[in-house]
Amino acid sequence: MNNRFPKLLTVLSLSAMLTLSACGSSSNNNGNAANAGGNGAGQEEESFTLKVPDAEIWGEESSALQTMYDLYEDKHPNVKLEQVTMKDDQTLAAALVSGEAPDLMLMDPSAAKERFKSNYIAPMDEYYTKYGWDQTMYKWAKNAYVEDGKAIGIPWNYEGLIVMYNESMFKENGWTIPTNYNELMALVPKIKDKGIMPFAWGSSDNPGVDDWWVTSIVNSVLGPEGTKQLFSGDTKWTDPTIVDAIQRYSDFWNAGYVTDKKSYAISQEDSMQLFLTGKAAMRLDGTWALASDNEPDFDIGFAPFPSWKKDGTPVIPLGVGGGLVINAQSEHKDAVAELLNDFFSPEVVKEMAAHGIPEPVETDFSTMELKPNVSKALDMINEAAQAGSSGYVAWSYGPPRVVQVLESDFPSVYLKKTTVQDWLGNLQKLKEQDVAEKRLFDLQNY
Amino acid sequence: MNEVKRASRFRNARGWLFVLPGLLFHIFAVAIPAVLSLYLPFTEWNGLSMPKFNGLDNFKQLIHDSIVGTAFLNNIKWALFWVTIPTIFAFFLAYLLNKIKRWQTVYQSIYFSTSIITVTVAGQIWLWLYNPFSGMNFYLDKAGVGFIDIPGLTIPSLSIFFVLIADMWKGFGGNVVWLLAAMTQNDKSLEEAAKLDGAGRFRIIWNVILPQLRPTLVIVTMLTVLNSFGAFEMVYVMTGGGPAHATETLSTYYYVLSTTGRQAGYGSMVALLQTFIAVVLIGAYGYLRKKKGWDV
Repeated sequence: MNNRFPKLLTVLSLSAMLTLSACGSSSNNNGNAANAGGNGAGQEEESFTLKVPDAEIWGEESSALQTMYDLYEDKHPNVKLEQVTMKDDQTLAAALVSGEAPDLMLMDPSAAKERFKSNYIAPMDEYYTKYGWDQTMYKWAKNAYVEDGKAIGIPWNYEGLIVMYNESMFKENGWTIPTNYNELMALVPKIKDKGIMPFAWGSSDNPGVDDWWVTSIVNSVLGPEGTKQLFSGDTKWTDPTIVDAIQRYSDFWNAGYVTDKKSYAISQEDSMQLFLTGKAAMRLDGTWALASDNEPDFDIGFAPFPSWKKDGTPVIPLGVGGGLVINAQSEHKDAVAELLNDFFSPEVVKEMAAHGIPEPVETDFSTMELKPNVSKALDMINEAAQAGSSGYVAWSYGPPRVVQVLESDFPSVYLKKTTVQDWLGNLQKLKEQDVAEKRLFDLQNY
Repeated sequence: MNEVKRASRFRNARGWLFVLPGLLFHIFAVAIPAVLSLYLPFTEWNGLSMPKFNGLDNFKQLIHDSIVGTAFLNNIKWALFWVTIPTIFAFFLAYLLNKIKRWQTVYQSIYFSTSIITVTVAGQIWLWLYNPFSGMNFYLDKAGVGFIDIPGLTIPSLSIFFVLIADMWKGFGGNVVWLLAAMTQNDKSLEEAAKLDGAGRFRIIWNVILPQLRPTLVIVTMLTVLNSFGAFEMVYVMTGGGPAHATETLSTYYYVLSTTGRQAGYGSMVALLQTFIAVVLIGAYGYLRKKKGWDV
């Protein structure tokens, strides 16, 4: 037995060495393939695999990715695209740290910036120059993915907060959609008297959505320039204008105008059902919800969120929902950039717009056959942007610590667990911490 | 003699070779992360960059953080609820199932069936039931008993208990199975003897059945309390810790801090507090087991 063991050990060691050297060869092949991928079209490519985000990650909404993959695979039959599911950002973070993250990743701007600083994200300036992506891209959208003067990703879409309302109900009752606080306060008692909720809203499954109200309110009371100053400049969260506006929202909520004071007890989906079944007249929502196949027995209208100024005009907060970035550890960066170039092909641009999440590039939507709801809303946003009445969503531009509280603790205000002044005072302290750590969105990049 | 020594050394080396893969895995997957987790609470870390040592700053923040207090109290409520209502309920169900001679496995499977439903689905079911506009209250109203109002998640101070009910519905079947398995091992002759001596049903439960179940009950209670301090899934699915942190637990809080909050260093400090609580509980259990004879 003892005599046989050394022989067995020798055989095992040799096998292990052979296996390891085979793995090494495989890695080398991949490395060469990377170079081949980088050489561009016209040369015979070696086979290799690119790991890319799962096109089904957000269902229909992310299906444009599949169109992009198909276009690329048609042109590069030797390159296999392996779709990888990263169920949340935590999983992606773990994959990055362990060196197992995909070559191409979907990531929101603030996460991308943190990861660029930690050398997990590759700079993309040379690809912007090579492919001319920024010739038609909105500058403000590109800037969401600029850090230390370097482009670190391409913005995937732009999105905005709007009000959807029951157009048929409004017509039947002779109501008009309010454009400011005074008009809103004149309308909501009339809606309530009919036994209908003015606003359907639900946050039990996702307290983060309450941030949409704060975003809409501060944009409309401060205007686009003032909002920039609040998020990245000298305006304080304790500014009397903001204190007054948030206090008025608390009063509005406590008057029962938002889901009958039960918004935190139902989910977003259930609040949508309240709207679709005619139990609520309006709902705050994002452009990403435009393409959902809801078919109520009434017409849906879209409007900007009423200005929270007493006699103001509305502002539509816009932002970049996410972006595509290249893994700094990828051996195939040039190939990934070539894949990304297909993101700007007409097929993909159309598919993104069709789902209500248009790419932030100059586009003529009138030539596209879009669903009527999508067309209506995109036209409205374009008009607002051209008129200078588009603002900034907090989750793209707000100080990270402040956003975390906006997304978890706004109910403390309307449930009166704290005073508006104290709550906003805490936000200001958090903003100052972010200032000290240089984590604010750069004012120059708006 | 040298031959014997060499053979002995070779045997030892061979033993180490067999142990080595498991040992390396344990060192890299358990020991090093465990040691690091004692360091991270004393750092400023966003979860990605290199952690920077910041001394006791996170501890000071923990002391002044009212949300930690709320979360800790919710964990206490969670533990107290789980060691009382679901455990007593599970005990009586196990007792009844033990008395049934036919279809016992079928009933057992029915009670256990909710445990195999994923938390996401179970949470959604209970969100529908609690929905104040279309859930249980809506149908009670339709049935003409609208005066019965189930608050569900509408009263923030009570929300934690309604999340607990959902969690109990999903999880108590496991306790039933544990206790039933223990009951089947009980000495039936003791019950027969007690009956012959004229003891009533509750006297038999209290003086004959429960003492025999004590080791299992101690283990079930201990695991329940430990699980309670790790309460996460049902809260996260149903309320995300809201509204206004009313249902926050230590686990949901440090999860949010470490992920979207990008304060993984401080999140680790909250997690360290949770670990400390677990260590205290295990210590208390060890003490009771040794000194008070709660041996299993």
